[in-house]
Amino acid sequence: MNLVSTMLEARRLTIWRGERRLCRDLSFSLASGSLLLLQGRNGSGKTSLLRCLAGLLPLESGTVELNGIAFRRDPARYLRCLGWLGHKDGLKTELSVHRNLAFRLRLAGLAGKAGKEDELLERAGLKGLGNRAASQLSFGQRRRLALAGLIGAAPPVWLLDEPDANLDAQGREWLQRELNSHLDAGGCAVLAGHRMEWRVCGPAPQLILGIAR
Amino acid sequence: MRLPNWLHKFASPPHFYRIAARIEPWMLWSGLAAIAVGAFGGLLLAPPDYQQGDAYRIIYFHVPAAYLAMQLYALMAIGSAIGLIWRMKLAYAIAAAAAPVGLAFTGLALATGMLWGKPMWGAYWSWGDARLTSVLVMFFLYLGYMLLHASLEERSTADRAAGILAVVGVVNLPIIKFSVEWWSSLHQGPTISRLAAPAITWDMLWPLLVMVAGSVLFSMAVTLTRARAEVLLRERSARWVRDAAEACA
Amino acid sequence: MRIGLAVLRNEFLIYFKKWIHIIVNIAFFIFSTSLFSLVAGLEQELLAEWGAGVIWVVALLSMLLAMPLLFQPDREDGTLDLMLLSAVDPAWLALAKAAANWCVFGLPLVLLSPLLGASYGLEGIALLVLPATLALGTPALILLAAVAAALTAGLRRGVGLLALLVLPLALPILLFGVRATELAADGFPAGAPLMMLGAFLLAALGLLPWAAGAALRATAN
Repeated sequence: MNLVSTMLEARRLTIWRGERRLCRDLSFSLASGSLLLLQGRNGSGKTSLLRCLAGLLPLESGTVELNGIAFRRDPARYLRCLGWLGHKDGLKTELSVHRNLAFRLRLAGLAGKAGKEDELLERAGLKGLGNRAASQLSFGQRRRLALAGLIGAAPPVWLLDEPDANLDAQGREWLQRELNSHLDAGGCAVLAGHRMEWRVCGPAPQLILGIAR
Repeated sequence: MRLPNWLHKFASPPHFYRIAARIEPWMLWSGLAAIAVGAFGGLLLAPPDYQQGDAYRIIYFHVPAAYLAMQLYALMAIGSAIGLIWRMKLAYAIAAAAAPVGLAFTGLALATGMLWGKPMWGAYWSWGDARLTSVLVMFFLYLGYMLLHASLEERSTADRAAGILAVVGVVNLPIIKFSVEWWSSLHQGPTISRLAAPAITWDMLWPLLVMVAGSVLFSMAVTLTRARAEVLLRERSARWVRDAAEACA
Repeated sequence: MRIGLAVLRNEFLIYFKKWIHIIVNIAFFIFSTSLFSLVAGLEQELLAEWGAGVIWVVALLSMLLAMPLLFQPDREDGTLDLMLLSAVDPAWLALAKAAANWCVFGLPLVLLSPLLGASYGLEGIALLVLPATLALGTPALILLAAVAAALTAGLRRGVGLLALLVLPLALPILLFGVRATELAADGFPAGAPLMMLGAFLLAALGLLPWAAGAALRATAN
C-alpha cells in the first residue's frame, strides 16, 4: 500500500434530531484504504450521521473535513470528493436506465461516454437493459443501477446507507468486490448497515451508535 | 465579515436569558405606564378634531400598532438574516419570538384602520389605499412565516426555511407598497384624502408620542419574554437550563 | 453549466412522460376562465373590463397547481440529494428546473391568452399586450413560486401553504400585468407597466434562484 493519509476527519460532532441527541462529541478519522462500519438499532442515527458527513444536515457543533477541506469553506471541492448512496436510489423511474446512468455521471462532472456506460452496466449485471425504463427494473436491479452510478463517478470518499438493501447474494458479492477494489485503490468509505458480514481486507473499525442522552 | 466579539458574548443563550430577565420587567411596567398615560391624554385630555370630532382618537391605537407591525417585521427579517449568515441560534429565536407579536399588532392596525375608515371614507375598506393593502400583505407574510415554521418539524430546518421567507418578504414589501400606490394613482376609484398631517397640535401630538413609546417598550418586553421561552425550549437539555430549573424548584 | 443543461433535458423528458399534468393544467386554465363569464353572465362591456384580471388570476392559480411537481418528486426519489451533492450551485439547479417548469406550464398559458382574451371581448392591441404581460410576468411568478416550493418540498400536502406563501408576494406582478392590459384596452400606451414587469423579471432572475437554492439546502434534512 502506498502512503496512508487521513481522508475524512470528524471532530467533536454533536447531532440533534428534534428532541433527541444522536451523538455527542463524536470524533473519528478515516485513512486512505479504510472502511468505517456504522452499526446501531433503527433510529439510532446512522442515516443522520451520514447526512451530516455529506453536508445535507447542518452540524450543530463540530467539524468534518474531507482531505482537509470543510464543507462551509468550499462546498464544491468538498462535494467533489464525495460519493453518496442513500437509502433511496436516486433514480428517475420515468427515464431509461441509460439516461439515469448518464445523468448520474454528468452530476459527477463526467461526460457520458456510451462505452463507459455499457461497461458499467455489464459490471452491475444489467447488460442489455440500457433502453428499458427504470420503472421496469426490480428493486434489486435499481439498487445495482444506483451503485453502478456511484462506481462510475469514482469519488474518493464513499458514503453508503445500507448499500445491500434489496440485493441478492450475487449482488452482495459484487458490491463486496467493488468496495474492496475501491479501498485498495486508496479510497475510503463509511457504511451504515445492520448486517455484520462485511469481510474486508484490513481492519474495519466499527462505530456503534446508541442513543446518547 | 465577522460579528463583533461582544455580540457573540451577548448572544450566548444563558447570558441573553439572564440579561433579558433583568431588563424585561422595567420595559414591561414602564411601557404599560406610558400606554396608560398616553391613553388618558389621548382619549380625555386632547381636544376633539374640528373636522372629525372624536372619531380621530382611534389614531392613538392605530398609529402605534401600524408602526410596530413594521418594526417587528424588520426585527424578524433582520434576526433571520443574522441567523442565516452567521448561524446565530439566538437570532432565530428572537425572529420566531417576534412573529406572533408582530402578527397581533398587524391585526390591530388593520382592525383600527377599518374602524377609522368608516367615518373617514364612508367604508371600512378601500383597496385603492396603498397603506391598507400593504399592511394586509404583511399580515399574510407574518402568517406564512408562522405556518411554515410550525409545519416543519425539525426546528433548525424550520428556522432557516422561515428565515429565507422573511428575507424574501422584506425585499418585496417596498415593491408591494409602491405597486399599490402606482395602481391607485391610475385607478379612477373613490379619491381618498387623508387628514392633513402637519395640522396636528401639540395637545394632540404628545399623547400619540407617549403611546408609541409605551407600545414599543411593551412589545419589546413581550418579545423578550417569548424569546426567553424559545431559548429555554431550544436549550432544554443544556446544563445551564437544568441548573436554572433546579434553582427554581 | 453543463450540469444545468443536463438537468433541463431530464426535466423535459420527465414532463413529457407526465403529459397528463400538462393537459390538466391547460384545461384548468381554459375552463376556470370560462367559468367566471358563465357564472356571472356579464354584459359584454363588463366582460372586457374584467377579462385581463380574470385571466391573470386564473393563470397564477393554475401555475401554483403545478408547483408541487417542481421539487417534491425529486425529494421523494432521492435525486434531489444527488443533485445537491453534485458540485453545482443549487441556484443553477433551481433556475434550470424553474425554466423547464415555465416552458411546460407557463408558456401554454401565454400562447392561449389571446384566445381567452378575445372570448372576453378584448380587442386590437390589448390582445397583444395581454400575452406580452404574461410572457414577462409568469417567469417571475414561477421563480417566486420555486422559492416557496423549495421551502415546502418536505411537506406532504404543502400546496395550500405554498399558495399562501406565494400569493401576497405575487401581488405587484399581478397588478402591473392587469393594469397594462387595461390601459391598452382603453387606448392608452402600456409601455410603462410592461417595462416594470420586465424590471421585476430581471430582479427575480437575479435574486430568486439564489433564494430557492438556499431554501433547497435549508430543507434537505
